[in-house]
Amino acid sequence: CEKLRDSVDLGIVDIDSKLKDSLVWTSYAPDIYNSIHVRECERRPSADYMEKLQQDITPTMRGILVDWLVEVTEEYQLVPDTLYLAVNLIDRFLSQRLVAKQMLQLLGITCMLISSKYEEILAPPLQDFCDITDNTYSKQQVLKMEKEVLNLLHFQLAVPTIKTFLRRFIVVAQSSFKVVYDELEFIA
Amino acid sequence: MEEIVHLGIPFLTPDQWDVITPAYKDFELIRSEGPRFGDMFKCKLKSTKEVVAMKILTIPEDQKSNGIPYSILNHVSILKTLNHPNILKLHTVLRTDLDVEDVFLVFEYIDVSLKKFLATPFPIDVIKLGKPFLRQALSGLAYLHVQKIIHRNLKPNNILLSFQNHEISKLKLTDFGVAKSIEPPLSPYSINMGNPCYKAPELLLGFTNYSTAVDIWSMGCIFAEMIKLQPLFIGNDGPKILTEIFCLLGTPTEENWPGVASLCSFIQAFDPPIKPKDLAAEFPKLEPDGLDLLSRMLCLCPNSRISAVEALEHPYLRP
Repeated sequence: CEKLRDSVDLGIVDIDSKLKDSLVWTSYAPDIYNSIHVRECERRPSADYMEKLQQDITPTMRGILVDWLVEVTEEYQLVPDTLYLAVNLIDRFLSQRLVAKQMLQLLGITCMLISSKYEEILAPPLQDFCDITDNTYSKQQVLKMEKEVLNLLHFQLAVPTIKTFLRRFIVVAQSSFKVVYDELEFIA
Repeated sequence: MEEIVHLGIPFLTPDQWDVITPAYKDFELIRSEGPRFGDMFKCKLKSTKEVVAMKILTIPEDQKSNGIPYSILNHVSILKTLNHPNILKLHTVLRTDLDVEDVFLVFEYIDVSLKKFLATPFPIDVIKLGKPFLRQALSGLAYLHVQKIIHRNLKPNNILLSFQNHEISKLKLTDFGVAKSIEPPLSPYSINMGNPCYKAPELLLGFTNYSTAVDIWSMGCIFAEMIKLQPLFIGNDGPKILTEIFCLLGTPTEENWPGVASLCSFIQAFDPPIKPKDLAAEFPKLEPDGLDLLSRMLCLCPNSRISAVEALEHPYLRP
């Protein structure tokens, strides 16, 4: 992460100076994004846990789980941040702990519960998350799993996700245009 | 709002005792701020004899059905992000077994809070201690702000100090219970937390788009309190404090705080505006550089208020 510090000097257009609600933001923005980069490196899930650690689950199963979580996000009208954080938590959990096939959905829904509490203004109650698994798992199981996830990940929920950077990149991408393209805001 | 000081053994449920007594002993309550924020007590680690401070975050009864609430997730995840010599270090989060729902935080232990220190009968030598105090406090704050975290509840209670040969050997910011991780672009945040005496004027006026500058204001109030040996602004509620602020620093105008009148129409009722008092007369003990820094930290307009990083470069704090 040493290199990241140098990148500040390469800045060409100061995109932060245009922010309406900048307050003291302008002077801190470069430092803030550097520290986010560092944190991203520190808290990245391992890239090869499927091959190295997991025995029962496969990349396809993870794919199905994530697709299903996208549907859950839509069903309960959650913000994309919740989904991104949940996937990050799932991957970090799977990087460290062997999980059986039957428990993968429980892990998914638990991470979704944690991240919705963390990101949403009004998080859905626990019962909603049990309902959407067709009550495959009980409330007690989810609460127990929540404790396990938080203990294993040491409560480290402040992780930068795709969205953290996407917002910034959109501002960067538009810096040379006079008219702001509102459409881009939708992908963030 | 005030700290209730009663030393003794902390009041814990049998379940809570069961969690901590296997590894810890010699419990002694050090501060109590009511059930919502949890008592803090010191204890000894049985294995190494190390003295640590412990805080138990309990889940409010009405939120238990949804597991660990946002307030605790946010609090602990912010603490986990921080690592700086001027921020109280979180050693561990105790693993709890299934029946105990609380979260146990184990911190390093530091002797006294600034509040206790200010209450001692011996006057502080601000001329000597003011600079090292501000330097350390502001570097902790600068670190926080770069981590995109606003503390939102700075007060003498939440600044811990330890002394060696009458010099500050350690200074730690603590209590991140209402801290907030901010994300650009800034969105509106709650303005209801924190002690009104140390609240920035933009919060008291009800602006929800505030930022890191609110912590600088609080730090300015605390610095002034160290000199005056009593809180700079005294009152129980926002309007009272706001009046005190305007009496000392004058009412904001469109010139020194652009946009204030459009966001807060009653400001225009002050016509002509109240004139600010001369800070030099209010703080006769403080040298001119110190006065200049204080006035920049207590600048009414948040956009013109000095930032922590800039303050560290100020002539008053330069070694």
